[in-house]
Amino acid sequence: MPPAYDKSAKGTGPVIVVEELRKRYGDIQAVDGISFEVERGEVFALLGPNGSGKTTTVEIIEGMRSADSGRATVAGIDVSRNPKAVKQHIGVQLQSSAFFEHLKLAELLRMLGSIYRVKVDPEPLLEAVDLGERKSASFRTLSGGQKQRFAIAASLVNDPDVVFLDEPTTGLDPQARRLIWDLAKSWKQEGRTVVLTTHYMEEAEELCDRVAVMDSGKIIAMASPAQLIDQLISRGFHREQEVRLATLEDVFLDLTGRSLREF
Amino acid sequence: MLARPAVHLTWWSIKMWARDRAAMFWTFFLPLVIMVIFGLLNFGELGKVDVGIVDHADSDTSRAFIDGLTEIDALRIAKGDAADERAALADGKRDLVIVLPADLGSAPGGSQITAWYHGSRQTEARLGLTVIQSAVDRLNFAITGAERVVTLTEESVEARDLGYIDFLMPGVIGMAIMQLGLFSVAFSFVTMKREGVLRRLLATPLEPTSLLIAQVITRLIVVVIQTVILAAVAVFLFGAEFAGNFFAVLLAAAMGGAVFLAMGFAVSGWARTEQQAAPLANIVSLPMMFLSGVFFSRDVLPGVLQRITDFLPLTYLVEAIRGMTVEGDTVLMQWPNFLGLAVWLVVAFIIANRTFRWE
Repeated sequence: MPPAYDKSAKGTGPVIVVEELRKRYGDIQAVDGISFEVERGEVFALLGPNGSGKTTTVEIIEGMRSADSGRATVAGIDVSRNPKAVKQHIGVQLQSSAFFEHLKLAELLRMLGSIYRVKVDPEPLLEAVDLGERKSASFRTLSGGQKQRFAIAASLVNDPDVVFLDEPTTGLDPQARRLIWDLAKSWKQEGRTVVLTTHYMEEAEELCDRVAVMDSGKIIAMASPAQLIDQLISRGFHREQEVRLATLEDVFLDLTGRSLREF
Repeated sequence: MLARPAVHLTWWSIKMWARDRAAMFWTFFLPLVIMVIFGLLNFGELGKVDVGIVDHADSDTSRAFIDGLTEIDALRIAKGDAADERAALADGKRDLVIVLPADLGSAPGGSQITAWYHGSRQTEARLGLTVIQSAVDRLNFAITGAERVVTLTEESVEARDLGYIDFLMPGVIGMAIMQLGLFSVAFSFVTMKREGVLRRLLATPLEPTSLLIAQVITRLIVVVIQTVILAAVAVFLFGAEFAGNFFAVLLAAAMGGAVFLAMGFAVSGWARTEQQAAPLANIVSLPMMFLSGVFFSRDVLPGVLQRITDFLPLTYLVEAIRGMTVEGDTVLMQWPNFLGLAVWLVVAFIIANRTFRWE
């Protein structure tokens, strides 16, 4: 059994420490000597254009890829030395996840649980992502958004200390996106640490305590969203358009409601 | 505390297997259909020993003797004069020609039956001779009126009376094992690799070996079930011979299963898509299906090809099972075929280990 882990012990130091991480693919330096720390209970995002090295960085921390040099630790465990122990503590939602054929959603969750040697009650996990009604469906028959939501439920089977979400809301409708935001916020309440990558700035602004902006394998800025905005304004930036009291998304949600459309 | 993940995964993968209709079809239904069709067609006629008889006696004794031979299923009897039968033997139309002397059964010092056979058809000739020898023994008993001390003679004639199904059953079992090992692994792993199932599992603390163990055990269980079903249909529906120990046959089946599973992993390691896996698995399996003595004896192959096909993994598997079901051989007696399978297992495992990738 992994040692009992007190998720409520907030702010007792960084849960993720990354030092001088580097990874090269052929001619491309995907990750170019980055360092950062993520505090316990923090929601932390890696932002950046495609190919900036976000996913590679996250996958190194998850123990799915090896770094060329540098070090990453999760809960004090060195990922390159003991990837299995790290994987035991974390939950992972990949950009495109797939699961075994011929198993129902509830069975898939129990099967995944057996890999972590824990017994899983699939129903609350599925209900949390509004898939309670589909527990007997197979993964292949789900829509894109449902697949994404299931992948998030699957990342929680081992009650992880740190949840990694790689572009969790890409391609989702606003309702499903809100659901995932609410989930991430509830995890923060529970004391879990959340690391996510996203292309949606309003998502980062809504969820994150801190963000790191990556470009060409390097971190070019790292602070809270508010601080980054203040820094920008202090450099003399001001928006061309006037401040609006509502956005088109607000209109959309007002018209179509906040409840999920596909279950 | 839960049991090892490998145990759980095995259970889940059995469950997945049982729900996979396509796999069911290819594994259970298709080999069964092949066996039933070939069993009904009874290519056994082709497998009979052609015996030509030159009857110089033309007496009641000789006619009774010939009638006796005609009743034996394994033989196809033709009569003719010496010159014609010799020519037929030279042309390969006869496997064996026996010449009954004019004094058959009446010569004071015992009469001599001569057998001619072609050097290139020794297997058939030897089989024919064994059968005829038994008939000659019976004839001797009949003439001398001696008591039948050895009743076994009769039975040995029956046991030697092999039909095509006796040849076919081990062949189809071997073929089904090969198809299962090569195709089920090649396809399911390539699909899992392409869709990202394996990548998702890579994000968990799963030991790769646990997954492999689960997949291999599941398929070995299927191999055993498949072998039982095919053997049961052949034995109970077509009256196939099953002389050997059943568990020895299952051991051979499992051993063959392991060899072809390792080959399947090698294929799935190399292939990135199902479209690449299919031809490769076919290139490996199709020649063996026809050259390893599944449907017909390798004796019909040219000599060089026979020597080459001696070393095919399916040849080892089919001949091991055939030796057991037809001759009643033990595992120990079949050690050369088991050794051949073991060598292939090591080779295929090394290749699979080199080529296998998670994504």
